[in-house]
Amino acid sequence: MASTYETEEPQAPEAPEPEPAPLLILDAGEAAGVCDLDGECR
Amino acid sequence: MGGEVFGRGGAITVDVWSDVMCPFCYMGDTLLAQAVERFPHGDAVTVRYHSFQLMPELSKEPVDLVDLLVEKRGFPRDQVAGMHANVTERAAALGLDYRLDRAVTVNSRDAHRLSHFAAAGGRQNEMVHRLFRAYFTDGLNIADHASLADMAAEVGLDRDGAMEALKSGAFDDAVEADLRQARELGISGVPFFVLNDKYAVSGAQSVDAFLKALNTAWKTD
Repeated sequence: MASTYETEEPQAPEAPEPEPAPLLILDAGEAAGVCDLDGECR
Repeated sequence: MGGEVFGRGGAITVDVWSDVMCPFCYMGDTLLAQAVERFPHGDAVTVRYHSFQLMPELSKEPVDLVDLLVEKRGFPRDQVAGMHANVTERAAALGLDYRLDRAVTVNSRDAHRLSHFAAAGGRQNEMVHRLFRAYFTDGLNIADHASLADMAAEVGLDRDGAMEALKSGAFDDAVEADLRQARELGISGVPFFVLNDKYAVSGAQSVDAFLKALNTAWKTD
């Protein structure tokens, strides 16, 4: 009896996710209020 | 016509990272709203809110904000009073009524989960504004589920649905995803605004600065 073999489709290697483009900070050159993780606001 | 003046034009999405207990976030959000009001293509602007937690180590048990800053952060008490007076004055200039003497300082995680619940119901903007007012003006406890559900109902959401979401821990994964994305973007302070995944504005900048950012995004995207 002929045996059967399951064959798997060859899989293409996963393409690495593209790195997100860095954000362009629009600095108005002004002192603006910001609060950090520790709760310090300046 | 606007396209001719401003360039290519198109929709602008502003992703905002903020915390309900962040005094400059409420101001920054107000300044952004004023900029959008003045922006000729304000109708093309969508604002989405993302979670960032100040002092995530806080519990749901209320602590006095002044005592916290003095005892845990080491600020002299008179310096804290001066900082609060300064922040209150700046907020008042924008029409915001800060009552920091009433502030109930708690862990804001559940308030963030409610913001995501509201987003799913199409009322996130209203919910975030209600939460800001609850903390800075009304002295409400933003970790108390009954209070949060009441606020959800005030902005047109289903109170029972909100209560169920709060009790079940729903939307915690959405909060976590926001926090992770903030880390990936290198956000170390809030408010932080990202326009069309490309331009960033850090802090409660002026209306003119936000207008400039909106124009930049409009011209180039």
